[in-house]
Amino acid sequence: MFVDEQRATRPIYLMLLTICAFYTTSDWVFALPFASLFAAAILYERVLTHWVFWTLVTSLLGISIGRLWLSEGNHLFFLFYVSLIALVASHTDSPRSVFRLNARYMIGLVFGLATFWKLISNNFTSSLFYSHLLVTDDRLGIIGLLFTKLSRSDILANRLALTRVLDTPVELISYPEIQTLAVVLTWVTLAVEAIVAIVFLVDTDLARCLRSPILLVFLLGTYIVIPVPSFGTILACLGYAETRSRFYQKLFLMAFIFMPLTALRYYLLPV
Amino acid sequence: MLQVAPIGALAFIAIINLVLVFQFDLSTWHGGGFGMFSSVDHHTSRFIRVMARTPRGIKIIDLGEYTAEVETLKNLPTPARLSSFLTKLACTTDLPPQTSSLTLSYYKLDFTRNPLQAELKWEGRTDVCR
Repeated sequence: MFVDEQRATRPIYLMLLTICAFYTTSDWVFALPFASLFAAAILYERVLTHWVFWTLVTSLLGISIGRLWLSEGNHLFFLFYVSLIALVASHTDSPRSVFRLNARYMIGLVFGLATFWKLISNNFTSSLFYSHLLVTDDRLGIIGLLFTKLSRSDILANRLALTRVLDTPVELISYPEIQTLAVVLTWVTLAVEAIVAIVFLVDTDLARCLRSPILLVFLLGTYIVIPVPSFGTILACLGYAETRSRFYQKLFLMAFIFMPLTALRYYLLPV
Repeated sequence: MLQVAPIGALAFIAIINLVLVFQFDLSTWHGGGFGMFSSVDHHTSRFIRVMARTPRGIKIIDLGEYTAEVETLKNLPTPARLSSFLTKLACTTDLPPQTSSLTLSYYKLDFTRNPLQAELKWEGRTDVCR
């Protein structure tokens, strides 16, 4: 039984370790120890599920948060929490159920918090967030380029103008379609994130059926347009850990494997 | 209990994050509260400018050398942290000749105005180290 449990959780540990090795931080002081830990776990199979190993990984992530929490994004915190799950799971006789339980509530809470912050943010609910970032941001700008007559030179001119805002008031280049698009994106984003939060936090038959497909739709819809592999791979890993379905596990594995390639968008379709 | 410790850690840090955002103007994009992509108020709409007073007039200090530090400062711009950075700058050796004092100004974009303008949020002044 225990051997089966270990075998079932091995892909989760491996996915987590891959994220630690490749997406933690660009700060080499932390990136190099993760590379060593990654090599040790690949070369020595038993290391991967050992609690001492995950104590080291979790400690290293904790220290990196202490040092980088104001410069790195929330993915570092997310990875720390997920490595805590791995640490707890490596201590128990039923690691699969530890992963499943924590993955479910963690996805629910993360999406719940994301929805909460958006709901209380006046500039999000008023669509200002999207109407501003669609015309200035290198990640979200692509949506404006695809669906409106906004051009790359408009975005570059807006960014340049913002660098001078301390000296002179700035009028950003925008179009009426941007505002319409911003309103649509605002409410679609809120609806999708709230639905993900609800299906993971509520425990009904319908919610259980919807969890994996809705998370996959979110991963596909969001990260192809706005690639954030550091965050998307963690969600794919947790999606794999939460589901009992072999079919959805395979889809989450595919999402995990191909997620880094979405970042090629920045080279193929630069803003 | 141990089994749900990771969820507890997430909830605990999210509460601390909430306090830091409302009490100390921490950017919601940082700090483990998962508020990224929820507000235009992040480091690209926050600005720090340092000016040196010299006998030849006021000169803007190039903060290129401190880019990483300035970015983190903008993400949690408490008066104490801004003052501490200003004091540190005042004791560096690469200031314009005969600088007598430095002034640090922290601005945020005011999105209620069209055209957009930066609004002064904090200003501090210090004499340079002798």
